[in-house]
Amino acid sequence: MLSHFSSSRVWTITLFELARLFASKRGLIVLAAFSCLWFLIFTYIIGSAAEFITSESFKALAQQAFGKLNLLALLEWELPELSVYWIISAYLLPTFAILFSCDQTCSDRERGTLRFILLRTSRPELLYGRFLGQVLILAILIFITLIASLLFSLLNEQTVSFGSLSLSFSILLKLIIISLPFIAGMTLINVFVKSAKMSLIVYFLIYIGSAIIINLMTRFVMDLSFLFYLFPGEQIESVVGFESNYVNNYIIPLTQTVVYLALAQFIFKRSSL
Amino acid sequence: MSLLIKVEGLNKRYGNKHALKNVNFEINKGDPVALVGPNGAGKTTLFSILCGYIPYDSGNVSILGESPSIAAVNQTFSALPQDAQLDPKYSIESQLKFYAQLQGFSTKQSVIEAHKVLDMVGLEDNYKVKPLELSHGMRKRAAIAQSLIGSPQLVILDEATAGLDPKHAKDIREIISNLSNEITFVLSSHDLSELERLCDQVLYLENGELKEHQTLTSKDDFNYLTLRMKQHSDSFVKEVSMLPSVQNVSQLQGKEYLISYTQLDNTEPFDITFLKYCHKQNWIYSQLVNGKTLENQLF
Repeated sequence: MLSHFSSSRVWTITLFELARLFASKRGLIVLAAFSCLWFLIFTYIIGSAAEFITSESFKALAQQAFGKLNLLALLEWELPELSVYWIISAYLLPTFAILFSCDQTCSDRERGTLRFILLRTSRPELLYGRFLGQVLILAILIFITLIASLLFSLLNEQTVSFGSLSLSFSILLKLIIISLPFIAGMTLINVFVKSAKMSLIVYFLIYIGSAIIINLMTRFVMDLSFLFYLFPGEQIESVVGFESNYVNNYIIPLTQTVVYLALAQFIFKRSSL
Repeated sequence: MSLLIKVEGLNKRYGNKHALKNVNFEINKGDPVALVGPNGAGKTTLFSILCGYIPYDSGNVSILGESPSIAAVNQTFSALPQDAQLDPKYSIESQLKFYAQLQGFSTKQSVIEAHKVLDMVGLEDNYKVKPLELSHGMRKRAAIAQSLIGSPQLVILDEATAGLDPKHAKDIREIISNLSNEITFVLSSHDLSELERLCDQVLYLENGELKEHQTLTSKDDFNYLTLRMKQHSDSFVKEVSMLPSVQNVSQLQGKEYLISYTQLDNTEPFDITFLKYCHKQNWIYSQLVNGKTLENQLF
């Protein structure tokens, strides 16, 4: 079967995913909403928060507060805008990842369009092509907002050094890795739901429902908190301090991604269209 | 003859319903093949298995020696799945171009190929149109166009002309007829006269079981004439029965009759004798079929 896996077909599907967002009316509306939201974030949160962080009165308080949250390293950053951007993005982008990737295969399957596509490509190729397309879309959006954040720093009459550029690349990479299991989770849910709305409902039901059950079990029966690692985003709190912890930074999200995708492929290969 | 499809001992169940029961058949390269049967007989299930859309419980299915899903990836065959629709968000050109690219066409060639197949189904003025802006018939033609991308060896069309107006149904039949030298078509339709015009081999499915029929080439059928008269004559059956060679005359429905006969050696061909007799009696007929119609063979 592996010999029938074509990376060029996967890439063709990935590129068509970009067109699905950037060249369709619906995609452009989503992008406009995304841009407006980030405009507000830059104007009212990043700008004022960055100013606040650099003030002397905040620094003493921040030493204590950020220390408890393991965020001290962020105070050392040359550009405070980047610190604020990183914290906001680390928590906000998973939501965007879920919203952008909620319709990977479900509506096409329901409409029958997948039947046309699967006359020309294998199911794994389609699944991975669509997944990579969503990753690429999110990577582009992160890149754009990161550039905007650097431009914002320039507008605030700060200089952007090579160190800040290197840090920006590191932020881009980390944000993509944080988002991967969220997108892969949607890939998995998409193989058995019928619509984008339903995929969001199922996602949140699983997420919130499991959290409640695990918490209750942990409190009254036995410690099952390790089960939280089955769900994406468990490590974000540890990652946001920008420490060099490979398990939290890479191994947990990448393992979750691989497991979700393998499950999605297993189910999708056996499902009826 | 090269073997295109081989199905052996195919079984498919949906819960308690046995949708396909030990189905066996082979399709060779050549004239179009018809798959017919009443609603719920298992035609779409069989097509879906051939296209690799649904798994089957037991048996073997091979298309050009490969499993359906691998044959699809190798682009040796294509299909028009019943009720499948193109994505309403993109123009039919961009979707067909995408499909062509998946089949290995370059960006530039894929546009040419998309235009070529859209031209073939008469949609040359609608490249940039989105599916929802097209009529039902035009959407169907666009879906047929996608099945012709890349000149596949085998094309499976499930209800290709359903919902089309007579003119466009005729156009589709003409396309199939014109391409049948290069492509082997497998067609399902409820329009038996359409299948009769196009197909040589008929696969008849009923309650999940397959009965294979040969039309036109079957020797038995040359001893029948099916006649549709313009006017009804009370004495028609009695008088035709008196003709030499005639074995039996039966009235099928309305003004349609089935005449069975034996061609005697060294005598004028019976159909000529019969037409002369009609002329002499001043009977006007509207259609004469050499053999039984497909409808009369099956039902």
